[in-house]
Amino acid sequence: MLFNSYEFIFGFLPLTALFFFGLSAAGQPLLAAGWLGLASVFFYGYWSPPYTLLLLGSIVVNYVLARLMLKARDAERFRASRALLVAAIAFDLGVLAYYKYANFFVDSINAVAGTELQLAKIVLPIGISFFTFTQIAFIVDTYQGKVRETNPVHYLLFVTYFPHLIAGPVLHHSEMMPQFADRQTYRFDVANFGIGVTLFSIGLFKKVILADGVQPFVAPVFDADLGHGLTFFEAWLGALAYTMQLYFDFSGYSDMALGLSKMFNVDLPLNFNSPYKAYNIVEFWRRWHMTLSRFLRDYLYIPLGGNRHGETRRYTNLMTTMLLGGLWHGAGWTFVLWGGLHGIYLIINQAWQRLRTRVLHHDLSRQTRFGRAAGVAVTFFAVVVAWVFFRAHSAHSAFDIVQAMAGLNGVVLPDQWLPVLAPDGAASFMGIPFGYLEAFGGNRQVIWIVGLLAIAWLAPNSQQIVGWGRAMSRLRSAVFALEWRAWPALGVLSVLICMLAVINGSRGVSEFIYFNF
Amino acid sequence: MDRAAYPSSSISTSSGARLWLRRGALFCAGVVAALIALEGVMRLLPVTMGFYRTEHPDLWPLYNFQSRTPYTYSMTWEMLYPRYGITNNYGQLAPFDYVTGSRPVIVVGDSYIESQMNDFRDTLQGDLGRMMGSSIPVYGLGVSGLSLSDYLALTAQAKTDFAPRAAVFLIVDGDISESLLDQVGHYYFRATNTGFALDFHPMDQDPLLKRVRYSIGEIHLYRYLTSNLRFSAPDFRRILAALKPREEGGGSKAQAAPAHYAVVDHFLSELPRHSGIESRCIAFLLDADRYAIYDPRLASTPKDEPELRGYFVRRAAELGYHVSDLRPLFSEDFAKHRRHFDYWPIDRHWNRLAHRLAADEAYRLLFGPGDRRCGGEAQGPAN
Repeated sequence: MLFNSYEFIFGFLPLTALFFFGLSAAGQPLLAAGWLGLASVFFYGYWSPPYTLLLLGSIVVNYVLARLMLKARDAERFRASRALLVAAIAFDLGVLAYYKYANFFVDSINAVAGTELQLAKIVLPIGISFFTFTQIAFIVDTYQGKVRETNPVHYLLFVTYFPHLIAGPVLHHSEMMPQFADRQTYRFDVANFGIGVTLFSIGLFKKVILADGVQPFVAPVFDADLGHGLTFFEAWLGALAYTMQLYFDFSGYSDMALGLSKMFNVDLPLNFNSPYKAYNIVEFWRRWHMTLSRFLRDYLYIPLGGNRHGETRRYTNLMTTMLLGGLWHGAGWTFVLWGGLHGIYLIINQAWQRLRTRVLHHDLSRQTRFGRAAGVAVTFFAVVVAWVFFRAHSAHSAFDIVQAMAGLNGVVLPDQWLPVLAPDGAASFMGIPFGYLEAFGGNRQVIWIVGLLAIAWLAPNSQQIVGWGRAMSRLRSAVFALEWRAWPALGVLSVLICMLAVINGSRGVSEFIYFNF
Repeated sequence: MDRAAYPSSSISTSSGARLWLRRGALFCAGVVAALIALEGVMRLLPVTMGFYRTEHPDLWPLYNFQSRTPYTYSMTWEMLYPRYGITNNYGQLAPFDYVTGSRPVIVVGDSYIESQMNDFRDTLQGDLGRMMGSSIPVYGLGVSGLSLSDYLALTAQAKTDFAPRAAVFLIVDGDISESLLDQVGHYYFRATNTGFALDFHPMDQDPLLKRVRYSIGEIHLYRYLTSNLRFSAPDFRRILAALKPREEGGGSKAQAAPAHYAVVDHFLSELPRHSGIESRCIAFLLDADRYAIYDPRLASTPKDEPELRGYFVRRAAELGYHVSDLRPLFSEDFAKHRRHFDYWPIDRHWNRLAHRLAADEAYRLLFGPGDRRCGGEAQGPAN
C-alpha cells in the first residue's frame, strides 16, 4: 500500500488510528500495540499476501534466536550465544541473498564464466533490506547485551511498524522499543497528531508535486537509450532532474513516515537534513539517508576497524563500506559503481582534509563564505555524477550519459532558444550550434530544475518547518496546543491532503523510488 | 436548574459530547476556510472552464457546446498549454461563425478535431482553411467522444445546414467498436433484422438538474478536480458489477467482431446519402498508435483490431473514398526528425505538427494538383 494512495489515506490510516486511539482510551495499551502490529502486517500483505509469511517467518526466527541468546548469556554460555548470533545473521543474510541477490549472482557468473545457469525470476519482497537490517542490528545488540525490552508484541511492532516498514528509516530497537512500552504513547495528543499531519502533508507535497512533477524529464534521458545521440545539455538536465526527483521522492517518503508515526505519538529518527547543502562528501553522508549511514557506520565500518588501524586500513574500510552500501541498494553493477564512486569521493575527502590539517596547517573549523559555497558546488557536482550510475539501466548506459555530460558527444543548444539567443537567425550562439534536442523537455524543464534547486539549497527543510527538537515546544504552544487553532489547522491540512491525493490519483500509480531497495 | 442534582457521569458525558462537537465545528471551519482559499487561488489560474453542452440538444453534435460562450482549456494538474476562446454560433471551437448554406469542406472527428488543446490556426481545419484560401470555407466539426454512428448523424445535420462539398474524417482507435455501444448522450448502431438502425440515447434534460450542473460547473475548484484532474467519485455499482462473475456472451462490448465489420460496411454505404457528399469527395485519415512509433515498448492495446482497421481501409477504397493510413507518414517523419506528434507523454491528442501533416495529406487526397473535382481551387500547402 502506498502512502500516497486513496486506500491508504481514506481507508487504512483513519481506521488504524481510530481503533488504536479507541483501544488506548479504553486503557488497553497492549491491545492497541497489537492492533498497530496487525494493521502493519495487513499493510505489508496488501502488496503481496504470500510474502507476509516471509516477513512473519523472519520475525519469528529472529525473535526466538534472540530470546535463546539472552538465556544463553544469562547462563554465561557465551559460545552458545555466539553460535546463535552466527545462525541468526546467516539466516538473515541468507534470506536477503536469495531474494535480492540470487539472480544477480547467477547473471554475473554467466557473464564471467560464459555459462548458461538458469534461475527462476525471483520477485524482490518489498522492504526486505529494511526489515532485515533492522533485525540484524537487534540480534547483534542482543549478543552484546544491549537489549533490555523483549516484549513479543513490541518486537512485532518494532519490525513491522507500517510507517517505516517499506522504505525506512532504518530503525534501532533502542529508540523504538522503549516508546512502545511507554504508556504515554497510548493516548490521543492533538499536538503530536497535528505535527504528524503537518509533516505528512509536507512529505506528500514533496512526493506528489515536486518529485512527480520533475519526473517526466528523467525518463527521456535514462530510458530512451539515446546513447551517443545524447548531447551536453540534455544529459546534464536529465541528471539534474533525477537528482531532484530522488531527493524529493525519498525525503518526501521519510517525512510522511515521520509524520505518520508522530500521529501515533512515536518519534522516528530523522533521515534527511538538507543533503544538497553539504559542503563536503562526508557531511553529505551525515545528511542523506542518515539512518542507513548510521547503520553502516555502527555495524560495518566500525566492526571492520574504522579509523583505528592507520590510513590505509581506514581507506580500505571506507571503500568496503561504500561498496556494500551500494550493493544494499540493489543487485546490479551500477549500484556497485555508485558505491565505489562514493568510496573514492570519501577517500579523497579524508585525504584532502588530512593534507590541509597536517601539511598546510589549515583550521578546518574556519570557513569563508566563498570556500563553503565552492565546497557545496563541488560536492553537489560529484553527487550528481554518481546519481547517473544509480539511475542508469546498465553501466554502459551510465557511461554514455557521463560521456555526454563531459561534452564528448558535442554541445548543442535547443532550437527553442534560438529566437532569444540569436534573433538575427544565426545558426549558432557563441560558437554553439542550435538543434532539435529529443530529450530536452523545453523551458519547463529548466524552470522545474531551477525551482527545485532553489528549494533544496535555500528553503528550510521539513524538520525546520515543523520546528523539530527544541523549537517543537514553541510550535506546540504556537499552533497545536491551543485547541481553537489546532482543530481548524487539522481541517485545513485535511483538505490539502485530499487535494494532493487526487492530484496523485490523476497520474495513476506513482511508487516511491526506494521501494525498489 | 441545579446541575449538581444530576449524576456526575451524565455531566461528563454531555460535556464530553459538547467538547467533541466544538472540535468538530472547528475542524469543519478549517475545511471550509481551506476550500474558500483554494477556490480563490483557482480563479486566478487557467483552470478548464466553460464547455457546456449545447442548448440545442436535438441538433447535437452539429451544435457542440453552448454558442458564444467563453472557455478556458488546460491540461493536467499543472494546467499546461492553457487556451482561451469563445465558442462560435454552432458551439464549435473556431474563431469565426459558420454560415448556413456556405458549401464548406467539413472536417469531422472526435476530440482530436475538437482540439481543445491547440489554437485554431494549429488544427487540421485551420491549416486546411489556409490552403483552401478565402473562397472555400473549412469548418471543423469535432466533438469529444464521437464514433462512426455519431459521425453519420453529424454529417446528416451538416448536410441540412451547410450542404458541404467535401469532407475529411479522422478515424481514431475505437471509432468502429464504440459505435455499437449504447451510451448516454450519443448515437449508436442498434442491430436489427435488416442491418443497423441509428438510435440516439438522450440525456437527462431535467431543467433543475441542468441548472444545478451549470452552477456547480462554475466552481473553479470543482472544474479543476473533474476536468484537469479527471476525478470522479467511485462508482460503487460498477465496482460491484466488476466483482460479479461475468456472463458468457453478455454485454455490448462482447459483440463479436463480425458486427464490427458489418458496421464498417453500413457506415460506408450510408455516408454519401447522409452527408450528401459523393464518396470521391470524402477522405478518411486513419490515426496511428504514435507511442509505438516512438518506442515499440510503448505500444498500446488497440480497441479496434488491426484487421478491422485494414478492412476499413480496403472497403473505403473499394467504394471510391480517399483513404490514408497516417502511420507510414508519422513513422517516416519521426525517423527523419524524431519529433513527437502529440503531447507525449501526458496526452495523446495531436499537436500542431500532427495536425499540419494530416492537413497536407487531406489536401493531397482531395485537392491535389489539377484536381478540381470537389471544387478545390486552392492555394496549396504553405510549405
